[in-house]
Amino acid sequence: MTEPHLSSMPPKRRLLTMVEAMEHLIPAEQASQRALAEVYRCLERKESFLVEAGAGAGKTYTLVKALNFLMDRYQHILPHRHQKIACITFTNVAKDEIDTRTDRSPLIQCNTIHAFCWSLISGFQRPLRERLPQLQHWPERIAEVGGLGERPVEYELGYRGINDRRISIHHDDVLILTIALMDNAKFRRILTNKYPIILIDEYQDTNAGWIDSIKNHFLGQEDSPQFGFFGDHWQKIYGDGCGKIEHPSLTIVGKEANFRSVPIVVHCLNRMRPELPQFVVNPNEQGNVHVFHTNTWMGDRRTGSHWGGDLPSEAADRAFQAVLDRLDQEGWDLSHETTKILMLTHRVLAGRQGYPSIPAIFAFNQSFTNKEHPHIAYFANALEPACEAYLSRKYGEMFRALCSNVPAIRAYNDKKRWSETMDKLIELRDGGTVCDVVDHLLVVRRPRVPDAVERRERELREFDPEAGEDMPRGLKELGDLRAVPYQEIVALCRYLSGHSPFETKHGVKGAEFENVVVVVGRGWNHYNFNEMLEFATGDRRIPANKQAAFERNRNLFYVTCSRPKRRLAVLFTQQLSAAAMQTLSNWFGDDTMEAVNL
Amino acid sequence: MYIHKVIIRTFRLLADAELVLEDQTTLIVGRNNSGKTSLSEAIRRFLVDQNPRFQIEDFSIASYDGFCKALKAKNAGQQDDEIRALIPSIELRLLFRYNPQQPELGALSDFVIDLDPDCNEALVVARYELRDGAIQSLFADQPAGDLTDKGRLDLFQALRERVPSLFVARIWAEDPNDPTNRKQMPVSALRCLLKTGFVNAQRGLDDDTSRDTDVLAKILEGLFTAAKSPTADQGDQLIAQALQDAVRDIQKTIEGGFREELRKLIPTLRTFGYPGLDGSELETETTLDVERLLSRHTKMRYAGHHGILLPESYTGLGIRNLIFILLQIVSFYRAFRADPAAPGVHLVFIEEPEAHLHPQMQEVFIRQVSKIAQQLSAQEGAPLPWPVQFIVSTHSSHVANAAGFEAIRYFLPVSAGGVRHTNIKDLREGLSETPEDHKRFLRQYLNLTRCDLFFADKAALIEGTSERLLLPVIIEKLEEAEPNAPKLSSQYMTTMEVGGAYAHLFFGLLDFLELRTLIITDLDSVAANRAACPVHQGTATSNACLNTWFGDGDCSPAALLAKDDGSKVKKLRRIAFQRPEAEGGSCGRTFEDALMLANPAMFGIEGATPDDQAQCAWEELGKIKKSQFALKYAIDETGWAAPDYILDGLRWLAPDGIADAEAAIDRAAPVVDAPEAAVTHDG
Repeated sequence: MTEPHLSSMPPKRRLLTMVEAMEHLIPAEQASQRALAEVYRCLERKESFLVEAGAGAGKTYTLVKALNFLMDRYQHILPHRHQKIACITFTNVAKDEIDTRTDRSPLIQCNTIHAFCWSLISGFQRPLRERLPQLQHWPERIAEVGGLGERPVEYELGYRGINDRRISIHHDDVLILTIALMDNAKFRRILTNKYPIILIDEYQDTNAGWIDSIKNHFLGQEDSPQFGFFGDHWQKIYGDGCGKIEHPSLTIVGKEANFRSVPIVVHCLNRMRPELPQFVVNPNEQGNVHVFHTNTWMGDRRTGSHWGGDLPSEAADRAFQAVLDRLDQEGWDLSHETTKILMLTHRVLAGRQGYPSIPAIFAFNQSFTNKEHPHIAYFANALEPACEAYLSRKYGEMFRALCSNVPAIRAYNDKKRWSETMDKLIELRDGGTVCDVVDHLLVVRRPRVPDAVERRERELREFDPEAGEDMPRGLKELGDLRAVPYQEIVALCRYLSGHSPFETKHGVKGAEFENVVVVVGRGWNHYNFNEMLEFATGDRRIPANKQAAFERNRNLFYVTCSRPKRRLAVLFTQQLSAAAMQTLSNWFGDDTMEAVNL
Repeated sequence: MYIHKVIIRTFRLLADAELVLEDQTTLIVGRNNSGKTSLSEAIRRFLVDQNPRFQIEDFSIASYDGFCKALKAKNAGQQDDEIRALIPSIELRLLFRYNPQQPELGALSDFVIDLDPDCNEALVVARYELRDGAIQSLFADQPAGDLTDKGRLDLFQALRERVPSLFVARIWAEDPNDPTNRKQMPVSALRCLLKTGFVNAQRGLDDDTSRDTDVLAKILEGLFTAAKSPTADQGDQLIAQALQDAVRDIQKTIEGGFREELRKLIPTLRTFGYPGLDGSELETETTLDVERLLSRHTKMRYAGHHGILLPESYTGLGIRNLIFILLQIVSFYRAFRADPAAPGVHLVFIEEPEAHLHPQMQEVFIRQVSKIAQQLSAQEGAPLPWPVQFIVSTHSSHVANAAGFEAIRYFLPVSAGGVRHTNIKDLREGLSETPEDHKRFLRQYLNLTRCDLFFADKAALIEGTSERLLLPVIIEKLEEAEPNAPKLSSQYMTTMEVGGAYAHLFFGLLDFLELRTLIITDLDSVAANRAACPVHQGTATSNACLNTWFGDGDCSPAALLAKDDGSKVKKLRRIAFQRPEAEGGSCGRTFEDALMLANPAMFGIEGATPDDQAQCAWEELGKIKKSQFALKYAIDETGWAAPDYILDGLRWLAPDGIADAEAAIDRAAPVVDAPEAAVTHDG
């Protein structure tokens, strides 16, 4: 049968045919439609299902489409029955996105898991009080106040405590209590009653205990809500997440599409993960993949459980520079806007990141990488966002960033004073040291520094070096930090907030960049990518006690390698065994692999 | 899901009233001023009013002392929580029952706060109570020290203004098994759960003076609004759509010709020559909407002859009343269907449906009302059944008897220490001990005889027609002779022809209703062979009532005649049967021969001994026809004296009535403080 020629058709028909034809040509779109049809079918049949959507598959699109489908179908029935569709997201950011994309429909209760669980259990005050003493951390608190009495259980504060008026529970308690109540049939019935349909985004990072209780009490049973899980167990990167969910009653829908990356990158991902092959948008799109190793390095490598097998600092810096030069020659645009550097190592390429003196100050990297030091936390969470906001004249945002530590503006003069002190602060921020900035804040108290910072400063001031005592490590660190130019803090904060070419591991999920350079090395307990690559050959069984570690390493590696749209380069500063090299060559192809010339 | 129980505290006569509802129709009966309307009023205030408010007058009189005690506690420097506990508050408690197997709790699920698998109830509490932190304001400027009479007056004068401004309504869910476990809820949550509908006694149907007599047309508008909603029945939606389309067509016609003509009527602004108005000419737009067309320009008409349609108000009031109630029920149902969020229970109050209806119609109505609800949901293919519970208040014995007494809740005002409050009596519960065959008898009897036991102040159970006809005459005579004694004629006494064979079956019901009752029965003496005989020859009585009353003891006529007055009274019941008019005199065995023996000359009773006289009366009795006998002496020949046993009984029955009408009027009298208004009204 011959197709009628396009030019012989009426214009509207012609356009439609062209769109159809184009969709025909887009393999990713086709795969996406297949998955969506499958999801609709499950929703129709009221079957619980799981959508496995690999990196770049457009998981949120499917989730929103499913919600639209349900809203359309149940728009009258649900409110009539006082029921809602629950949509559980992993972060508040994701919640906001779903809310916006569903026009904040009253049919949908979109919440993070903690907010959702709390809304379920908060009405059952007496059962909560009965179960609280069986929870960790509580018996001693309860004993202290001589019993819970009739105090209401509250969650607004998020920390554990009992005072005269109320019992405040912790985020973790909310989940544990919910899981405990799930044993009660009446509670489950009320839950099913309120939420006949529950969709869970990023299922793999959802609390494992909670998912277990869903599996035990709901899946495959009568009087269960319909569950829809959306996520990817290969992208589980949070500790208490459930990872893969297996249950005979779940229909698994694989979303075999990748809308993000060019074929050469997607092919690597498909070889890494043959069970979920992805189709690309344009099979002819060009891209670039490189794997650099440092196995030719002849010098001594570092030792110890943290750093064993990695290059010494100076050599690693050189290797990184060599890779950048090499990529530059090949025509990569290495500007901040297009190329992101992802660090799968605790190695700090501090010089390049703009804060060379900070790593040397702290005994533990977490002090600044995880903002554990109160000064760093204050700078990164409050002061820097406030300064940035002030500079861009967004004063509302500035006060929001400073939140409670702000004397209110009561008169015109207050406004003037704010402006003067902030100008001074900006000046010190540009040219002064940490010491200059902190001392300025301690004097003008506008904005006020948190108590924790003030206390440390006082301790340092009051420490008498003549008394013959050794200076505690914390104070010594603070003393050293005060000497650092404040601009290094600015650079550190940019790194921590993701506004730098370098990115922390947790910041990258869901993100995408034009080009990505992944630096893989050591420096932490939980990760050893050489070992992961060795296991990935499949030549020998992974010991049971290593399985979790293997998945953790593999997932993080998969997540980072799937970020680029067009170009991917991976640099290993740690030594790779022959088996690991074999895995890399299987995944990325021999032609992409080369040794860094050191 | 249904409401199992309603508890009202501190609201007018309902100081602490508990009402168990039937799952379909509950009937509320009781005398006037027994708190029937207060029940629906309390629910209306909490559930319908945007901002529920009560006045000090709405608090039960018994609770007033609470305010005084609270003030005293405050003056004594007690803690705030102790003072607050003393301050009265008006409370409505609704106990819902749900089927544990029912898949959906709907709006109730937010009110279920227990996890006890054996508990299938949820308790909702609405309370009008003092705002937080307002104890000071409530008692501001009140003198310290003991409360004098004047201080009391001042206090309540102040409370009259302060209660409405300082009290607020709160709603919470309460664990039915643990009052300390509760969860505060927004008022709107309760409105979602419980929808209400009221068909008031004042329906405006018989009000010809009002301009808006087309009450029924108003209901049409309501039906249309309901039909428009997206959750309404498909067919209804089509009708609503068709109506709207029709109106839109008319609108188009208007926009064509009509508008052109109208434009000519408007002088062009240009003629004013004002510079700024150039180019802005006025246009007219005529809009029509279906709602207004229905309410303003649509009348209900009845088909008459020769194409003349009769206006709504030209039909009989009874028919209009019935149509009105039925249409109201339909519109409640449609409103339920149209509600985007289905309520768990729809509580519909119908006040006095009997108005203007003849008795048979009344009985049909009450039998049909539950069926109507079922038919409505069945007919229209509803996704959910209509969870309606009717509460019908009535003064009609026809309605009450037809409903069956299990569905009846009897509002009984009682007085404690001069303060009245209402007890609600539940016949289903109160008669649960009564054997089933007795209940069947009572049900049948009440239904057949249309007795008004539930509305009476006093009751008299009598043997037959003679007593029924002569009793009013006897009462009249007695009151003439003893003008200072309490009068039965001013009370509402119901007379029931039950007879000694069955009277005792009523004892349980009478005790339960706390109704002061006189049982007038006959000695019914029988000989050893169980044949009837004069009293002096009798060895036993065939009267089941007497045998029951005096138990297994000696029930020979001689023994019965020896009974003292004390043994003739039990609870609020007194039994009366023949006795000799004079010590050692002759004694009748039934009312008729007792009457003869009381008037020997008139009836020609002769005999040397009392026994001879009795024998004579016994023989005389065989000659008369009872109904003719009664009519004759009730109407033509009233010059007789009443037998003493009846007079004794009536003397006992007359006093001590809670709803003693005259006393009630005495109590009410001071309230009428505008005598001149009353005078003008008379003129």
